[in-house]
Order: sequence, then C-alpha cells, then structure tokens
Amino acid sequence: MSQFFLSFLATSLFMTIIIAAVLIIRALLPNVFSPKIRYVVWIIILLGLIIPVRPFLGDGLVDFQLPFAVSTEGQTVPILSGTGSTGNSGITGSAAAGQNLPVQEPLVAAIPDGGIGMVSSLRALSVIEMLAIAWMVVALAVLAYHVWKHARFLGLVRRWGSPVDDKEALTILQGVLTEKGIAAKKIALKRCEFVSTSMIVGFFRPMILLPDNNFDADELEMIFHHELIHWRRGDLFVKLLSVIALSLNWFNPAVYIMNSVMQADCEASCDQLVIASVGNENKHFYAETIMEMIGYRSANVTALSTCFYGSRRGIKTRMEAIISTADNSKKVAIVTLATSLSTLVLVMGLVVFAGSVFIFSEQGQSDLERMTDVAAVDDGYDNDVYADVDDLNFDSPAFSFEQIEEDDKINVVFQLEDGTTARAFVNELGTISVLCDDGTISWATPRYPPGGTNISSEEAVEIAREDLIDRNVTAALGGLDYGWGEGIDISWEFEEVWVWVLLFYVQDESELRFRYLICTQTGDIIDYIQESPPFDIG
Amino acid sequence: MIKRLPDAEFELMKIIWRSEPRITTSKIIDSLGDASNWKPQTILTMLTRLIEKGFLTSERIGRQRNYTAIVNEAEYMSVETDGFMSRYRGNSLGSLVKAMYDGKDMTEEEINELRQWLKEKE
Repeated sequence: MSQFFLSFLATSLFMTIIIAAVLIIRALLPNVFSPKIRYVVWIIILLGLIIPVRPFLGDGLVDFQLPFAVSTEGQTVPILSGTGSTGNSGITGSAAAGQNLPVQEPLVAAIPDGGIGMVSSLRALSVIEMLAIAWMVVALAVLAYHVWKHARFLGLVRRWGSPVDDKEALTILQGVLTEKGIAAKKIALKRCEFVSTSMIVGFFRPMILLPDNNFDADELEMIFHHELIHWRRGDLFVKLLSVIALSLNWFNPAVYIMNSVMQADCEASCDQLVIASVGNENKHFYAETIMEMIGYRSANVTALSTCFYGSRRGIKTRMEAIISTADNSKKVAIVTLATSLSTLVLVMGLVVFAGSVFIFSEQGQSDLERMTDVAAVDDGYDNDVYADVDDLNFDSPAFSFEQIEEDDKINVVFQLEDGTTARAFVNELGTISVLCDDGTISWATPRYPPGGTNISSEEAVEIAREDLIDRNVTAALGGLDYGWGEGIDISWEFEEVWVWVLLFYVQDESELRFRYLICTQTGDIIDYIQESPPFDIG
Repeated sequence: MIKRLPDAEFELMKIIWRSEPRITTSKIIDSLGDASNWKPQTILTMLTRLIEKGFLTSERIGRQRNYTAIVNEAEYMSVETDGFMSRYRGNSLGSLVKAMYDGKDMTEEEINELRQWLKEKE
C-alpha cells in the first residue's frame, strides 16, 4: 500500500503541473480552444488523476527514488553481523555454552543482530504507511460524504418532488427526446420546490427536476435540450469521475480548482450544442432562460461578497459566450480542427507518457531491480546474483520465506514477523544482503572471500573426510558453507581468516555432529568441534 | 424542535397539509384510498404519534375526531431540507447532478443588473 500511495502522490504531483499548465494556457488564450476541446482535455486529466499507473518506458529521465528518501535514517547495518561469538547470542547460543563455534549457522544468527537496522527501517516504513492509511481513510470519508449527500438529495426528491403531469410539458419533452434520437428513453420529469435550477439526475433512470417556476413552452424546450444533451454526453458519469478524483486527491487544491473550471467548460460546451439544436436566432432567449435559474438571495447577506462577484463574472462570461456564438461555426471548426486534435494528442501524451518518464522510473522498475540497485550502492558491487533458498538455511521462526522467480532470476522473499517483507541478494562477491521492501539494508553478510579461494569446497571436504577417517568416524556431509572467522574464540594471532564451514552428521542414534573450519587459503583445519544433542540451533 | 418524519407519517401529513383544516379520520382514510393497505388502527396510531410529536392537534366534534396541522408544509420542508435549500444549486462540489445554472444565488438587484446587461447585448 505504501508503494501504491507513493506512486499515487507522484502522479498527483505531476498532474498538478499539467493542470497548472492547462489553466495558464486557458487564461492566456481564452478563445483558441473551443469549450468542447477544453472539456475533453479536462476529462483526460481527470482520468490521469484517478489512474496512477502508466506504461513503463525505458529507464525514465528523472529518477524519483521516493521510498528511499523517506527512510534514510534506517539505512546502514554493519556487514557481517552474525559471526562474533559475543554478538550473536540470539540463536547461536552454543558459543557461550563453550562450543566455541558460532560461525555459519550464520544467517540465522545474523538476523537478530541486524535487528537494530531492521527496527529503524521498519519505523521509517511505518511513517509512510501511516500517511498512506490516513490518505485512504480521508479519501473514503470524502467519497462516503458525497454518496451520503447524493442519497439524501434523492430522498428529498422522492418525498417532495411531484411528478409533472402537465400534458403540454410532457409533449415538449417527448418532442425533444425524439429530436435527439432517444425517443424510447424514459425520462422522468419532476417539479421540486427546493431546487432553484433545472437539473438532471440519475445515472440509469434519469430524471429531470424543475424548480417551482412557471416555465412556458419555449423555456421548457430550452431546458430539455440542455439537460438531455448532458444526459446523452454522459456528463453525469464524468461528474462521478470528478467525485472520485476529488475524493482521492482531497489534499490537492489544484484538483478543486480544476473541478470548478471543468464544470464551467462542460456547461459552455453544452450551451454551444443547445444553440446548435435550437438555432442561432434563439440564443438570446436561451440565455434568458438560464437567467431564470439563478436563485434569489436576500440582499442583507453580505458575507463573501467577492464570491458573488466571482459568480457574477462567471455567468457573464457564460452569457457572452452564448450570445457571441458565431453563425458560421463550420468555418471556424475547420480551422481549429487540426489545432484541437493536436492539442488533445499532446495532452494525452503528457498525461500518459511524460508521466512515465518522470515518475515511473521508480514505479516501472521492478522491486527486484530497485533493491538490487540499493544493494549495489551499499556494497559497491553489482548484485546480479540472487540468493537461493538453499543458500540460506533459514530456520528461524521469525522468518518465513518463499522463493519466487522474477525476471528469470531467483529471488528470495522473506516474510518478517510484523508482516513486512524483505528480500535477499547475493552480489558477485557472494555477500548476501537482506533488504526490507522500503530499500533499507536489514543486514548483510559476506559469503565468499574477497580474494577468492585457493582451496575449493571439494578439496575442503576431502581434507575434512581424511581427518574424520583418522578419527575413525563415519559421517555424511550435511552442510557446506563459507564463513568468516573473525571473532571466533580461537587462539590465533590474526583477526580474520576465511574458512570453509563443513558440517558432518553421524547417521546413527548418537546424532553426533562434526564441524570443521578449513582455511580457504591454506587448507588448514582451523577448528574441529564435535557436537552432540541437544543442539541450540533448530 | 421538529424531527424528521418517517415515510408513512410523512404520507399522512401530506394529506393533511393538502386538505382543509379540521380533516376527519375517515376523510384521511378515504384520501389514502387503495394506495396504502394500512389498517384503520395503524392510521390512528400514526395520527396519535403525530400529535405527540407536535405536528397535529385534534379535537372531537360530535362523534368525529378532527385533525389540524400545527407545522405547515413549508415550515417542515425547510427543516428537512435545512442546508439543502440554500446548498442544492448544483454548485455543491462534486454533486452528482447536472444543473442548468450551477453558480451562486444573487440578489434581486444583481439579477436585474444582469438582465439589463443582457438586453443591451441584443
């Protein structure tokens, strides 16, 4: 969810830039684009606001890397946290118990140690998650509010609205329906005292509501043309999209501004279609009919007078557009057709593709690629080898893991106790890094000696077998691992030595285990431990 | 404090509002006609409840009980629609209707001014 939230935020931000650009162009060049084109542009942007996914094109030009910026505090955890006898009392308690060989049951042992890093990275993650949840909750609340309000409105209409049974009005309605080619459509007509303007409502069973004015036949015709054009164009569904976009983007003021401008453009384009239907000679009458819809406000309410000024300017702009509708609109249409089409293509391109260039370098990258990058930054190597479940002898109850294949590579995903996930990577030197899904390194441990090995694993096994034979023990090889000997409680001068860690099991009731540490450079047996049950490690 | 009426009680009130004052029980039942299949007893219970809620008064004239509305229709509507009366212009953000005019209300003066301006454009 955090991931989705972040990419939604990025989309919202990018759409804000587009909205601002469109608003500026609309203000600077008011007459270049027809209301219809403006309306369609807004619808495209509306869809862009609701749908946060984009096709992924290339690597993207601007890399957002959002998740990592948020969680830097939890970033680093020491490499190799799992092998010190003092450091890993968690699971490999055997070290303290005198069996001085913590070594490489190592991954299991390492995880609790990495806990410091893990804890802080989880805290960072939860900040995003909390924000994501807050965003979702408010969005749902806003949406619920709209739905509630609409339901309430419909309830009022049901109670107080009275069906219009005036034959003349119904005949006019039927006439307009026929003219629009939807004669068979059932459209209810109701009169409502509590609305001040005519309106159409209902997605599937549309209903035209009339205020309690005495409209004459000509006015009714204008009204029906207007409302049925809205209905036929699906403007109600566009409004539904607006409500969804507003709910999701409740934090974004640009979307509120856009919504009101969009509704104005919707009305303006509807007006044009009405005039095209009723004839240019009726445009003044149409404008006067709209005037009938303005509700009366008592003069003594002085609050928010600037708002009223704004609305007066709005209606004036609309009226001016109506009465200046050109007779020769066909000629103009041809001139603007090319411009209009290219504008639409441009906006659509911006919304869809520019979005992917800008934002979706982060989105389009698979989680795996993204985390590989982080692992590489952290250890300076290409992490193009992925951990294999078999590499990882995980048996701590804190983890469950599954091996999934992504991009043809094996990728081990861990489910941490708190439900978050982490993934393991092995870099070219064999260092295993476990990364939380927010990109922080949970812990990392080297798996192979930096300088390579002189003694191969087969040779190491051979050396150990010979030693076992010398001791008259017959045991089967049960495990093979690299280890780093630093901190092992052994009496050597040097601080670190790379060893092969070999585990042999005696296959009888004694359940004895033999552990060999064989230097990867010299082939010396650095340590040999005989262990007997019970073992501390699961 | 006037409370919102349930649908059934609202139907009864509608009949009472739209008839002469002092409507008798039998007239109410007649007006309901076949549209509802309420028993007379149910109707009487609802009428009593409406009296308790302060919507009606009743008086006995002869053998008939007569009902008169105390809260008139306009009064009740303004309560039930409260903010909606002023809000529902279609301009309320994101409402799921398409209104012919979705701007704000204006004063008479402002509207006349607009009309004047529109005339001049003709």
